[in-house]
Amino acid sequence: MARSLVGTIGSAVTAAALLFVCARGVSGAGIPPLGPLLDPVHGAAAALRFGDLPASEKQQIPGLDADTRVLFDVRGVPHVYAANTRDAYRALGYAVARDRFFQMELTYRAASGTLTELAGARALPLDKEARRLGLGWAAEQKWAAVDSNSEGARAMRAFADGVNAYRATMTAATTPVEYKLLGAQPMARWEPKYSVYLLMRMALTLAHDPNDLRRTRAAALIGRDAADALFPRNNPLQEPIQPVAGRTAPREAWMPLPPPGAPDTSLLAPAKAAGVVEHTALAMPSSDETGDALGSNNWAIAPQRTASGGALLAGDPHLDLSLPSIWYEAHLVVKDSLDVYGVTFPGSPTIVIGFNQNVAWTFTNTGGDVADYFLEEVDDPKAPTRYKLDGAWQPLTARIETFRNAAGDTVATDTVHYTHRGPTMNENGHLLSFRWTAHDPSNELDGFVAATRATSVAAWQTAMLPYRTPTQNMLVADRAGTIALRAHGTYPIRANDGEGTYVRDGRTRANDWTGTFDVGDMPQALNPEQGFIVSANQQPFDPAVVPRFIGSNWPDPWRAIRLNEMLRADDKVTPERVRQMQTDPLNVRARLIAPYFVRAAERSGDATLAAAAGLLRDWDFRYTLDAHAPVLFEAAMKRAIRNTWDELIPEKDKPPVAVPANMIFLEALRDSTSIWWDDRRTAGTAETRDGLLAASLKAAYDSLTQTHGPVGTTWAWSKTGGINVHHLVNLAGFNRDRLAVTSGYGTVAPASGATGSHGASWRMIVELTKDRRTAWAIYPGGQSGNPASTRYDDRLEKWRTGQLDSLIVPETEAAFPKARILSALDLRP
Amino acid sequence: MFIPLAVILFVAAEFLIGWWALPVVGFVLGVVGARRNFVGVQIAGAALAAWGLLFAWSAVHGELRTFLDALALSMKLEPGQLMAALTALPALLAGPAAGLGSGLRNLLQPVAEPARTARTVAGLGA
Repeated sequence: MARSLVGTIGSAVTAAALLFVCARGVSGAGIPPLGPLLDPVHGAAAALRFGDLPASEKQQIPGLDADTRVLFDVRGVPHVYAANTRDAYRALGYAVARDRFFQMELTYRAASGTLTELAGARALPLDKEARRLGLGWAAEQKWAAVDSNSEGARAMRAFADGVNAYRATMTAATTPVEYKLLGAQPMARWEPKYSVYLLMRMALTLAHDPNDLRRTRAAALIGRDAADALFPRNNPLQEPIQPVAGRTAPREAWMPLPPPGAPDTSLLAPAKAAGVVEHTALAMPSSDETGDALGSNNWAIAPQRTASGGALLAGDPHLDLSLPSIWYEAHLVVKDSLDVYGVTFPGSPTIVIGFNQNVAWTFTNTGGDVADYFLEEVDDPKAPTRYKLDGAWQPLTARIETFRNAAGDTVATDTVHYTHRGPTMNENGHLLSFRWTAHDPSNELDGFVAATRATSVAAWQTAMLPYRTPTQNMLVADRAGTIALRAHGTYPIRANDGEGTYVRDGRTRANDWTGTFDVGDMPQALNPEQGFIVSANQQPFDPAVVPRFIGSNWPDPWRAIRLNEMLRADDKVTPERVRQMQTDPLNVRARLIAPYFVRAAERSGDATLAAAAGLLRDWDFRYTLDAHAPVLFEAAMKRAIRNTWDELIPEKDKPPVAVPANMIFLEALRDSTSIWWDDRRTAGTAETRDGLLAASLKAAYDSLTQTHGPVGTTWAWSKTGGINVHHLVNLAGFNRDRLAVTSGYGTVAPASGATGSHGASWRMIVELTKDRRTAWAIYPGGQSGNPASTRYDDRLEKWRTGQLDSLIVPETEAAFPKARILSALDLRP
Repeated sequence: MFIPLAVILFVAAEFLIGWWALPVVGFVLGVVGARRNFVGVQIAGAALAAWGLLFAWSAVHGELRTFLDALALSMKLEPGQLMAALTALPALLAGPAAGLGSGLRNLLQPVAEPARTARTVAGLGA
């Protein structure tokens, strides 16, 4: 009896312990609840059963006005045939949610600072930062200001209906695998306003640039003159977006760099605060950090320069590449009202980049200066309640931010203080307030929704007038052959010097913004004489033509220069030629800089350097997969850059406060006697340009030989370059890493290198002739967010090799080729 | 027939209550089969077989092995470790639950000990 009792108690204890681990997991050890995760029917493995779309399916969407049919083509793209636009958005919401629900929730939570409710306390730093930047606060304000009868608001509500209809059908088995790995439950409802949060998230990615902070920190070390030269208002090499009539080559405006000066002591306090704020997790990385891969290209060619006699438009936004992709491809058709194809952000109710029957459009990031930081004087640096403005104390508005876990329990609170300018960041006793165009009320979706129906370039541009942020170079072409570009968005007008390039003094309203530029003042072009328009994030205006300040420290113009030279050389452009341009491997940056290395090496007389120089001298500056020279060039550049800008290193063993663009390095290269070549860390020795270049090249050559052996196949760019496409939350098994691409820092299709994950997120070409529209496109990944689905990464290899898919765009259900139908979804009220 | 029936019960219950089928069905089968020798082991084996069948069903729809390897990597585990967990889990959840069920039944309805003792004594006497 006693033995039986002991055995029973033992079984009970064992069963209870195992049940606990299976039901709750061990959060401290990072073990998710194993029961729901490993369950063969409802757990992770269920993803295999729902990886493929059913051949046909019927579902209900409450509130749907009429039966709506969604045909998924063989690429997994939903083609929605609806009776009205609201139903089209409802159906889109259903389709996107089915493929991307986890991504939608993750993006919303990242913007609203509620990731802790999904991922637990480990997400707290990200949430705190999102709230300190006022992302959720601004989204609330924007939503409150949205006219509930506006097209954008109606679209958001309809889209949410579709999402929630899908959410209602979600079962444990169809719940995305990420939730099971996190031990979390999907959010119960998608609210219409979440689409606004999503746009705030995009504003953070594209328009939150800490340039002012970097320049302030640099000036605190080397003085303002030197900082202004290293992070200049204008690029010394001008190939502007807004074409200059008659120009057939970039304009050079090189200036000798002034020597480093004495530290600007007036900037020490703001620099100290800036140093903390800049290095937060959400700050936009500099192009130096991303290998110039966060940006975009677009170009349009007028009928007189194309083989078909129609307009050609191409675009490839460069963003953080992820699986699933930031984009979701869809086609929405409402008879006699809407026929739009393109990509949307999962969570946005309408097409963002794409084309309709008459017009095609695509964007690049304009960049520029749309945010300022102000150093505020407060009554108590540790517990501020007031800030000084024009000699009088003003109350700070305190907003208590509460962070909760999945159960709704409070895990932390944070107080964010607001001045009349915006949210503040209190670091090291210094309060920086943040004024940002993205915080202002706006309803970008009104513009997007109206633009999808535009029948001409002019109508499209008028539709986009409500658009505010992030500022985009919106390129449009139409069937009549018109091509145009205009930067849409808001640029502030500043008092005093008109520039906002340093942390500003917050004690006076005189430093506040006084208004915004009119759309007529924005960079733009309409059917330019040269017959094409190119934007690649370069400085939009040539300051010699339009001196208006809208930003500084613009990205390097390498991609713009290459695209312009290719387009100038071809007056019978075909879609195939445009496709080749999108992945053109020639690097203008290397073409301009590598000869300096070669000359320095040749002058040295060193045998190793002679071999290295030979490699670079015989190079055609193309980043092809089997090329050896780009491996050497990039390694040498890394060393040369690090050794040149030692003046920007604040203390021994600390990283530099900022790194000037490669174009400024090129500007320095033009002056062999520049003081910047001297390494101040080697007292008593005066380094020279050629000495620095030769030493960098030799060290790179030796290091590569040591790592990869003598120059040979292991040196190939395909082995050392590459690009990573990470899963949204970097789940290693679902990543696709080290993809070999003919891209590098500065090529038309940039890649941020072996450790980076930025690149061309969507490549599209549209040809619009008088009688037809034809389109090709691809993005890295696939339509499904389910890692067990064949549609998770089915486009990756094609994308990697620069190929495009031919898009099918049936205007009616009846015209849909049967052989191209993968799945049919019938939605009923 | 006990083990095949147990497998069928586990499979059916999995669809209804998910992984909770392991302890619940294991407990019930433990009560029912309390008089059987090594009932915990038998039921653990049945649970394992049931999961095996269910994973085989998933494998029909896609590349199970590849997916599980990726899942393991995402959990910072070696693929073998995940396979071990998948094998051990049904047995470890169903076995002790069955042991508990059979133990409780045996405690509440003990086997008629006197009869057995009498037989033994009689045997010795002979």
